[in-house]
Amino acid sequence: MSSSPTSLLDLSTNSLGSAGETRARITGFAGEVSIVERLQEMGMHHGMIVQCLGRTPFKGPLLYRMGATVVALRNGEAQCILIQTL
Amino acid sequence: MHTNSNPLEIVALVGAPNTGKTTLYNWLTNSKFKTVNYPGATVEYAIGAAAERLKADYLFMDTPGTYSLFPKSSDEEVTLRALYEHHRHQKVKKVICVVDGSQLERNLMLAEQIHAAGFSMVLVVTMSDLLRKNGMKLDVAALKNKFNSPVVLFDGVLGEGLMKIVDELKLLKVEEKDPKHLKTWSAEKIQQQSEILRDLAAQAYGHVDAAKIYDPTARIDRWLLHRFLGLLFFFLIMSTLFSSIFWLAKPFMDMIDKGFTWTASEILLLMPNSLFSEFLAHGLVASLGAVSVFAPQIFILFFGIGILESSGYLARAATLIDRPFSKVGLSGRSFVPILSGFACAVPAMMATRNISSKRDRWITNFIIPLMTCSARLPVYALLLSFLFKDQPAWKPGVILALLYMGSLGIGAVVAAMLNKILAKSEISMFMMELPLYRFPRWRVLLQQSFARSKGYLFRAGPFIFVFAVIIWAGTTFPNYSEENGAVKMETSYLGRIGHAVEPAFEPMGVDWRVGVGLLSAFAAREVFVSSMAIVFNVTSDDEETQSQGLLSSMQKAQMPNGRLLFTVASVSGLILFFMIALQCMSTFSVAVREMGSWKFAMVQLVSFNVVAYILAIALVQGLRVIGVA
Repeated sequence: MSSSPTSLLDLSTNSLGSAGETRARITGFAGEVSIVERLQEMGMHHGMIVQCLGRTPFKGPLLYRMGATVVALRNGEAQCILIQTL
Repeated sequence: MHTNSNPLEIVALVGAPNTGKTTLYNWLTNSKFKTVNYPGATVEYAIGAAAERLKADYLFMDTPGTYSLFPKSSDEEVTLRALYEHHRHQKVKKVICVVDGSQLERNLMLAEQIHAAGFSMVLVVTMSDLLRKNGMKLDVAALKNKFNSPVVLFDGVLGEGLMKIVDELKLLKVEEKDPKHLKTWSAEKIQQQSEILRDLAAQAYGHVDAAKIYDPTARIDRWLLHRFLGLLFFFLIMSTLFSSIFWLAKPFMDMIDKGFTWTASEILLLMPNSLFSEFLAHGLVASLGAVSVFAPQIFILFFGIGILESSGYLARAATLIDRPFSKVGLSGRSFVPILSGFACAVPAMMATRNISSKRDRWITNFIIPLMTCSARLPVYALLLSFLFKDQPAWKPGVILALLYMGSLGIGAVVAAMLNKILAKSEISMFMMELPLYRFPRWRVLLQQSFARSKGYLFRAGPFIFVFAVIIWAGTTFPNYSEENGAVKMETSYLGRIGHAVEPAFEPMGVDWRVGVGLLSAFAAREVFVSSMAIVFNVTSDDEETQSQGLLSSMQKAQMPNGRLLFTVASVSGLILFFMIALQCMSTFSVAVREMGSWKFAMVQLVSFNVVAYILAIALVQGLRVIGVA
């Protein structure tokens, strides 16, 4: 887990509703091109501050707040976003 | 020859999902437009003329939400096609680009692309009510300068800014040359653009933090997406929706039933002993009544799904269901189409365009016809009220709930099987944006649900009429003067044909009369109910309503060998048959169109019906073996 740079997936594995906030800054993208393109089109970009809100039930998608929105991402999708924790 | 049948200038509305684009469209066209527009997304592109009070000669075109002009799903391809190709209308040159006022940083990318492609654009910033409530003032001038386009703030709740949008459209200059197709942007280009747009958004917002607009929504989501409570809420919301189809609709259904019963008896009183009044009362009115009774249930279903969609909950439901769905090879994105399948498979199949993975879309489209659509509701309601006649109302209610869940279960099994068989080729994506919670606009919602329910009645109407004529005439002639109803039926034309095909239905534990009903159901499932109403309602006692009369004659109906026709075994077999069989020509043709494949639709049609037939026989014979008649 100590690989650097870390991906958004490493940010938090807390379940939703538990205490504690984890914030990070997006530093880049890696992995499957179609996923990266889509993430960028949805407005995720270098330098953006992201906060992990936790995981949905059944070990479902992770919720990330960025600005005035929340995006639900699967593990594989979160993994494509590289971050630096704050 | 040059034909100019539509001289009105066309204006396209383009925007990312959840920006309030369709709300603006409803304001612009006064919600009067023609297209199938189902809860969950804009299906096809809708076209509507400007509302009269706007005094503008425009046709407005609503397009499915898109994040960019480089499409990733069929939905987004529709948007692109709508912008660049159009056969019956003029070329699109003017575009209203809709961006969410709280999401400028993310939404402006699309505006940049539309601008770069050379469309003349009015930039509409929605959610201005929320911006104001949070004390935010946008620096509109910054946006204007960047895009060299007019910018209008719009409040979707009150409609404020609507006239301004139209005025700006009129002033908008159009370039001589056509807008061009954009070449896909490189990662560097996207990165560079997003930095420019981020600075622009920051400039527009000033020092205010736009993110706080989301705070109330985030607080609600702490409950609705909670690890344990989230599932409880999901279950409560879904069961409230499906149970209200019954308890809420009951009084309205009784009213409609009484109305048709009264009409039929009045006709017979006014014109006693005539073949014509006999046809009107026992043929036409009985069959129209048998199906119209279910209109309230269908209205409630559409209305309920509409509330979930416009409040923002459906995106959460899709997120909650993503993981379980992924077990059978689907994603949460299949949730909305499948939920819509409980209303009607036709809009549900169109809704799958929102799924970017072709494989996911294939599987979803394959299982959609298995969902308990509204046309099955009348059939189940009739068969269950027969099984549970004179028993407390909750019993059929519970069984019906089980049938709904059962259809989801069958769908899951089929999806899992397909998931094993089909080659795994591409990546399944989820990536769902959770929009702000908003109050639905009740007037629009009522209007749309009403229009859809009306659509249901009118779609089935012609089939019901045609089969009413055929089945009534078939069971009445040639011995129309025969006093004994049973003899008249046995010797009728339809009776004779029925006997010929009876062997096919005999293993299902039913006779030719039900067989005729099953065959007529291939026009539309609900025709089964109206056919039963004619075949069995021959001697209706005026004391009871139509539906009671039908139930008691079904109870007395006998097979040629003297045993009862409708038993627990045969009715269960019928229910199982209806759960699986694909008896809907509209679904078939939409499957051909959406999947672009006759093969897909044929495989679906044949396999569903063959499996339904075999399973129904197995169930009936199995029940008989263990002693259930």
